[in-house]
Amino acid sequence: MKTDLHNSLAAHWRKRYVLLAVVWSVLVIGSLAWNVHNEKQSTLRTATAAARANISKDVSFRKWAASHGGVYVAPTEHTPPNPYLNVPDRDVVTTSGKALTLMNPAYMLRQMQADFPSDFGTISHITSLKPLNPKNIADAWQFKALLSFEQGAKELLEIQQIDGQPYLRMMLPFIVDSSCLKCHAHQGYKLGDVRGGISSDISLDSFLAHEREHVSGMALSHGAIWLVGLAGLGISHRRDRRHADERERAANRLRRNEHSLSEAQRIAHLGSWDFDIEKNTLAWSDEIYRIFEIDPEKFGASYEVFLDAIHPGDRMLVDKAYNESVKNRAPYDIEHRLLMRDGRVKYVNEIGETYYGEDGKPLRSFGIVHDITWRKEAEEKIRRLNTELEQRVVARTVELVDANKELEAFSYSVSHDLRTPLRAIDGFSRMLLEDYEEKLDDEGKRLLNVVRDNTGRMAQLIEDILHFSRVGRTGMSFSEIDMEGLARAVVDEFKPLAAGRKLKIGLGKLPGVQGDRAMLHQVFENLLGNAIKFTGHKEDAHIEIGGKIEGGKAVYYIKDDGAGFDMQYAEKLFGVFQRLHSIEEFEGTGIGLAISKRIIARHGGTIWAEGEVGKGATFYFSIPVSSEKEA
Amino acid sequence: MSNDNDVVEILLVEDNATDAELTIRTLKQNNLANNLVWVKDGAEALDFLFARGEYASRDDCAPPRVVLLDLRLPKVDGMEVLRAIKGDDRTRTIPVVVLTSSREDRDIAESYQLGVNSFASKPVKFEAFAKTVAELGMYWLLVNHPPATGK
Repeated sequence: MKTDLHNSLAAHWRKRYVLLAVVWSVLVIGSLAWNVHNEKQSTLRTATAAARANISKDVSFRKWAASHGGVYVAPTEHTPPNPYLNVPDRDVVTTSGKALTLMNPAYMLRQMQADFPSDFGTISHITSLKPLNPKNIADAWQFKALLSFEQGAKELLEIQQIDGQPYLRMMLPFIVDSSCLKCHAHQGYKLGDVRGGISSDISLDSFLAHEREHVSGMALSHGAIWLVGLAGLGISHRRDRRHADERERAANRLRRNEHSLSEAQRIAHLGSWDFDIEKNTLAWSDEIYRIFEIDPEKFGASYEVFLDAIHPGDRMLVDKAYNESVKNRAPYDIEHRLLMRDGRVKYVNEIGETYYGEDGKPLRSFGIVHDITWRKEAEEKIRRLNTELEQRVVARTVELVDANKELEAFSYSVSHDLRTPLRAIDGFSRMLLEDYEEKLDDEGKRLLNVVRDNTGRMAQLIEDILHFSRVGRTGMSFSEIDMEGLARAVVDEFKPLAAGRKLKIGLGKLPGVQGDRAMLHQVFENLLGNAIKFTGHKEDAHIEIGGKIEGGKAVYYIKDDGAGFDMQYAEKLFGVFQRLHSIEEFEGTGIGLAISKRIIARHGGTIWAEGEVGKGATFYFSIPVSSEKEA
Repeated sequence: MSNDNDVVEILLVEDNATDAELTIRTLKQNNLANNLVWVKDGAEALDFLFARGEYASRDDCAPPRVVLLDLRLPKVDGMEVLRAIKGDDRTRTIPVVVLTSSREDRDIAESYQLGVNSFASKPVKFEAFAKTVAELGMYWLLVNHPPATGK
């Protein structure tokens, strides 16, 4: 479509310039034709003047001769006595005896014309319808001319080809006067009659050559002017074309920019408005009409239509925001609602600013309206989801709290109620032993002691499980722990237990960590306690405590060369009440490692063990350290 | 279990009969149970101390030398009893010893918050239990001096 337009425009311009070129050509050709015509006229006039002069000269010459009644000359062979002259004294002899003959004017003129034709470049003839000398008989053209003189014509001019050359032929009538009658009265002429004519044929060669020269000069100059004119038109055409193209390109650019802007607005759902405060006119971009869902055919942009589209609850806000912005010379940026005709609500972000004149008068406000309904809806959805999530968290938390409370109630109940019957069993067994000592034999007493031993073990189990449960529940208080000092304190605590044994405990450098002192104390206690316990059957036992920072963690180990364990049970070691040895071999309920594992887990670390039956065991635990610590 | 002598030295608040029997037996063996009243729940304990209900005729101006109070009690539990005793001017000065199966930290903390005079847990093993009860009895009846009563 664009190309078509471009082509038609170009054709328009071409047509116009072709027409101009044709007009120019016609003008130049016309001028040339006119000039050539003038030149030809001029040539003819010049030739005619020459011919007339020639004839006039002949006439004058003849007149002169006639006025003298002819001239006597010595007759020669070239000039014999005129046989056609029948006048007295045609031939006379002078007193000295010299013979003379009379040359009548016609004879003289004819001889002069015949003898010196080339002197004047003309061929002259004297002729008549009734010549005395047959030599003077008229040719066809002369005859025609003489006839026309009889009819009253004063002269006759014509260009004729003579021997293939162009000639101007001119003939003037020869009127009878008194001098003529001397010779021609006998022919019946009267005064004033047309006796004959004198013709002069002028070769046009030189005139035409001159004319050709002029015409070709004119043709050249006209051609040059024509070309200059055409060149001018061409240049002008090109310039016009270029200007037209530029205008069109500019118009295209403008159209493209307008299209881009309009499309950008459509895609972004962002419309713009422009309010001329002085003229009180408001202009909206297409997108504003779309956002407001207003038919631009039906409603023009106006502040009233705009206010009408705003949600009634927000009209004051918008009006106030705009007016204050104008007053305070500060841009405004607000969000408000639009109420559609069908009751839908849209949210828009409106930003505007005002330009002021030099006198501070507000001239023009410009702003945008951005449809943010989708964002508002998304925000609303997020808010709703968050609320739901919060409610769910609350519900879950309540459930967790409930579960925790139940667990606590359970352990409280265990703590109180499970011990009481055990105490009764133990206490009453003891009372039986005391009060019925005589009635019980040794076997009876042994059986009762077995009962009592087991109540003791049961009490220990309850103790341990409560302890384990407490480790999981109690709050932790973190502080910087000197692990080496802590380990040394634990080693000191165990010294009485190891007294009398050949046991060597080595304590290396231990990195410090952030942790709960009481809990970590418990871990060292459990692990060192185990090491001491499981080296109990060895003569010469060694225990080594060490640690280092490795990969953002503090890793500690307690290594012994005691009973060890089978690696296939390594995982089981940390289970509640898991034991790898019999009570008789090594005492304990099997809760220590489970408690240790729970404590380390609560510090974000891990605990693991390596061992070999009969060779010893190494227990490791790691606790994350903060990065600056590592450095 | 009330005796003819008006002076009650120990008020034992214990719902569990076997625990009560073990306690009383131990105190008796140490000659400390001569003036002992045993009540089986919190309500009865408060009736006794405030001389009301069944104990309305009792001279409430004669407080026990010590109250041995279990925490897990029917009707009104031990903590409520403790709160009532320590919250009332008439009974605030009566020494109260919580003697219970638990060693829960929160029980200990709450008891002290309410103003308990001592907290002891009952060991499961009889020997340890007997030792605890005997020492408590000795201390509160023989060593400790209670404040002079209103009389």
